[in-house]
Amino acid sequence: MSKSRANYESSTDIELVALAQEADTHAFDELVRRYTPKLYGMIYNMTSNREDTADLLQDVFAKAYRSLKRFMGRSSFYTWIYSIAVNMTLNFLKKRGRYHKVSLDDVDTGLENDPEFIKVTTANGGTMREVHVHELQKRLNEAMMKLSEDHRTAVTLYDIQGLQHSEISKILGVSEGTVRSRLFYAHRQLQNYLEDFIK
Amino acid sequence: MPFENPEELTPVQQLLRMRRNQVPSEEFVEDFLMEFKERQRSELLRQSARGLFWERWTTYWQNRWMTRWALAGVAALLALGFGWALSLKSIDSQTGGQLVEKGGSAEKDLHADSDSLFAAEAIMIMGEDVDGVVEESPMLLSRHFSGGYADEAREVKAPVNPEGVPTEMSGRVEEQ
Repeated sequence: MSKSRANYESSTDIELVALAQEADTHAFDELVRRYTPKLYGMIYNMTSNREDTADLLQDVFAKAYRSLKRFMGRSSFYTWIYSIAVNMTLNFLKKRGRYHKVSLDDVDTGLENDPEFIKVTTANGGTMREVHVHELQKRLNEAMMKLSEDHRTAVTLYDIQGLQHSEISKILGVSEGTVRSRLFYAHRQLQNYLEDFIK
Repeated sequence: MPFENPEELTPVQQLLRMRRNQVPSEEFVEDFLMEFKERQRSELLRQSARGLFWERWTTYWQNRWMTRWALAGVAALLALGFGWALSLKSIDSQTGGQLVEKGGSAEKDLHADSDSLFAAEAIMIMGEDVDGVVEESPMLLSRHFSGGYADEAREVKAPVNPEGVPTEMSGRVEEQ
């Protein structure tokens, strides 16, 4: 007997994974719904391209679906799916880097009315207040793309996705010290790139 | 969450943190899910049986590091064993060739020995002949008519009486 959508929504990741491993496709659908927003943000901030992000995310879930039988639950599903997404994104960036340079014209929209954004700009005053939102977002995108892939990944997972150092170290397979070091250098580089806009 | 106190954040970190609010809408997620399902179906139809088998095979082994390394070790050992067996076989075939060559030389030796034996025998025979030929003397027709040669042999073999006349002759003589 199949469960209702509400039942799936109230289930934990582990329960959904167990059901999906028993060929319950609705359970996997719920996992896709649950992780699409987070993974989309992560991949987008690493690729800075919406089409690439959508394609890559499709591939990530397809790979997760194929590999789900072998997921033993040693780590959380959250860490597992993030590892798949990060590895596939890094591979994609390496391939893309070989063939063409990324256009940085793809500027995000929707931040203009974000209250938190307005608060930050006014709190810092002066230069930032006068900068157009689109221009600032574009600059941030450009600055992010100038970072190395490792540094960009660390910044994306920590600052944008809000993961802990320990979680990032598990996902990337490096020590927490390495994660902190990458974050330190990435922040310094971003500060240098954006110093004209953030004073 | 990593940031307990937003006041401690640098402007860059504050700027980055704003991006957390950039999430796709629920409608986008549902469309994405539909596209995902359609893509899975179309992939199943597009892929050949061999492609599907290969994909499943590679996916199966992808995360089995220990098993994969163990299998790689076994494969390497098998390859080494195979190579060793091949090298042994080639050594055998080489030594076999040498044996054949040796056999050939032995045969040759045997031929040489038999040749030498034959030669020795031939020399011995020739020696006998030579010995026989030593006694050779010119044959004279006159001597044949005068009762030589055949008579000489008979004369040698025939019993001789005390007077030096063959007994047969002497018998005939006696009859006469």
